[in-house]
Amino acid sequence: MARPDAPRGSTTQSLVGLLILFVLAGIAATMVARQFAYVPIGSPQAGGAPPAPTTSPVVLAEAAPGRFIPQGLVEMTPAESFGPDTLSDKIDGRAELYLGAGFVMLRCQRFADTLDRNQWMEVFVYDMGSPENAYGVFSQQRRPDVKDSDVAQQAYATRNSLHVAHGKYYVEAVQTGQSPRMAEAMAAFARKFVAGVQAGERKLAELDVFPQANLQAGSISRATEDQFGVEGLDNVYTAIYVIGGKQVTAFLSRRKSAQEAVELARAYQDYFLPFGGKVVASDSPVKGAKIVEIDGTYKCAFGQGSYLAGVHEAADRATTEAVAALLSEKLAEVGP
Amino acid sequence: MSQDPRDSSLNRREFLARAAKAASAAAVACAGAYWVYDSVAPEGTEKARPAEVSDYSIPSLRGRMSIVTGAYRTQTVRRALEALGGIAAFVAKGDRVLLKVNAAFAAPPALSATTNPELLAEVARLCRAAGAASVIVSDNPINDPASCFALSGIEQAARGAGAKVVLPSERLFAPTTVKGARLLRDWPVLQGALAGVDKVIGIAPVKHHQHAGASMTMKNWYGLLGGRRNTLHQDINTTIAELAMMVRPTLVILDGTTAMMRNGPTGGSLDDLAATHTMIAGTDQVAVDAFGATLLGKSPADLPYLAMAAAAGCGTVDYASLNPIKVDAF
Repeated sequence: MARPDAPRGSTTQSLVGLLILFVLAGIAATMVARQFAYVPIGSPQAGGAPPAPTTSPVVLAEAAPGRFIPQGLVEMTPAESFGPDTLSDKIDGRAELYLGAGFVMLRCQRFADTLDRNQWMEVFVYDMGSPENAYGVFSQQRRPDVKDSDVAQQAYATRNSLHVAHGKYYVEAVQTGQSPRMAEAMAAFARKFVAGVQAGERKLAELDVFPQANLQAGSISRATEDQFGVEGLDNVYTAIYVIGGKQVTAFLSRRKSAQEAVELARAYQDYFLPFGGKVVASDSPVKGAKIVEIDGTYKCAFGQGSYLAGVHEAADRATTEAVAALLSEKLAEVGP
Repeated sequence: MSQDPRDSSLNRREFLARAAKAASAAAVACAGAYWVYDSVAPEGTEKARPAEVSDYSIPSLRGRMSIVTGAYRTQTVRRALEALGGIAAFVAKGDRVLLKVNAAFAAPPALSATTNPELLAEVARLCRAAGAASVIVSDNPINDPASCFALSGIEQAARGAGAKVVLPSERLFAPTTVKGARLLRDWPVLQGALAGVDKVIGIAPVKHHQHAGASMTMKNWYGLLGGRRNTLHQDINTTIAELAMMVRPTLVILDGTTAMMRNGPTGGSLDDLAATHTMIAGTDQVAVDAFGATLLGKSPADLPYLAMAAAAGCGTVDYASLNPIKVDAF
């Protein structure tokens, strides 16, 4: 029997005490369970067999390759899909490029020629989350000296493959050989894909800002992070110009504000100074364009409206100033 | 003295009594926790003791290397082996030989993302001609194994040359620890393909690798790993160096007839390839890969894992110091 003079806690104190006891009991139970839980080889924790790619109905979504099979081809293997955790199970070390560029999902499938089953192609549809990201992986992997294809606004073909950036999707079709019939089938696939998948209204404005004169065809590329080694310099489009037989790299990046563009331009200029870069005198008409010379190459950057623009590598000061002036004029046409 | 029951304040005696009870409870809880604690992980049903990979090198043949230029693989590989004393120097009568190929992707041979089937077939035939009791061809591909071996042409080439293809399955993997390794500890390795084998020959193509810089004979051992090996990409240089520590091969053959210059390791376009017309064979995998780097327009210093493997005693980056035998097979 309780002593009448024993102090008693309030109901609230009792409830709090009980709650704490329950939490402690839960922690203890979890510890015991974990202690005796064997992690077998084969589980992700133990480095076991990797999870199999899914062949779930998800692949029948909007961009599933099977929706766009052209005439003359049949499905050769089931559709597969890979997410960020499993992408390397399909493309191994190349996954890093996609994962660093906003990769969401890969859907892929092989299709064989109905007349010759030894002729086949594999289609890879990468959902990159945004048109910018899709263009990024498209442009960074562009093969040299290839021709644009007319299957889409952003497309090129090699001897055995077709590469397309359409909306948030980057599409690759790769055939086993160099069959003209299969090449036609790849193009037909791409046209059906472009017609059947909405690309969205969003345009990549930077592509139209680069002046066209002396621009090397197919040279506009987009990097996602820390371009030129400058911290924070992301979402940068570069283009190569050939002036007087020499290559010049120009760049553009649309920023959140005019202030950010100016600050990044300053950061770009300052980046080279500790490595021996020197500011050289310039009578460039472009406001804020400071030219830096390092190891015989010239660089400059400036902010204009919400754009950061500049020249990364030019052989001389005059060319640097000329390209910067062209960029500035085009930006003035585009507006803020 | 009576006390108001609503008064929750404690006197000294009650405080001490309660403190003693709380301490007792805590002591009992700690004793219980100590009783159930097991600092050693439970053994489970798998083999608990990690295995090692045997040393398949031949001490008397260390530091041998040949570089053959030519366009035809069957010809250049023969010449490369002849320059090293012939296949008989490496494979004895009755030997069981594992040919570790790169069958990583379900891609056609034309893309050069995998070991060339004609090259594989020639090496398998040479091993059989040297009296090998059996020739096994194996790899744990990145993609579905059956598709990889079939679509790469490796399966057909191997069978045609009298070799047996061993596809990876869960039961063939065993936890393995590489002595001195930081990452490859208790890692599932395709030990089933190595069981009973006397000689191991690695055959790999020269490829650009987006993450590692290049994929050649050392990276080829990645295909012996199981598990969530993609996590190893977080420290790819250490991983490749430890792969070289894991496998001391009898011989490696690096196929630089066609090199994948960009967008590796998968490639995808014939435009990613360049005709580099070189076949390299050697017993020093670091030296062979160091030379292979030059076919990709890189210097050995561009691939940090080479120096790391050399520092671990797996070979030398200075391939010229081995005085490789050079043959022109054009």
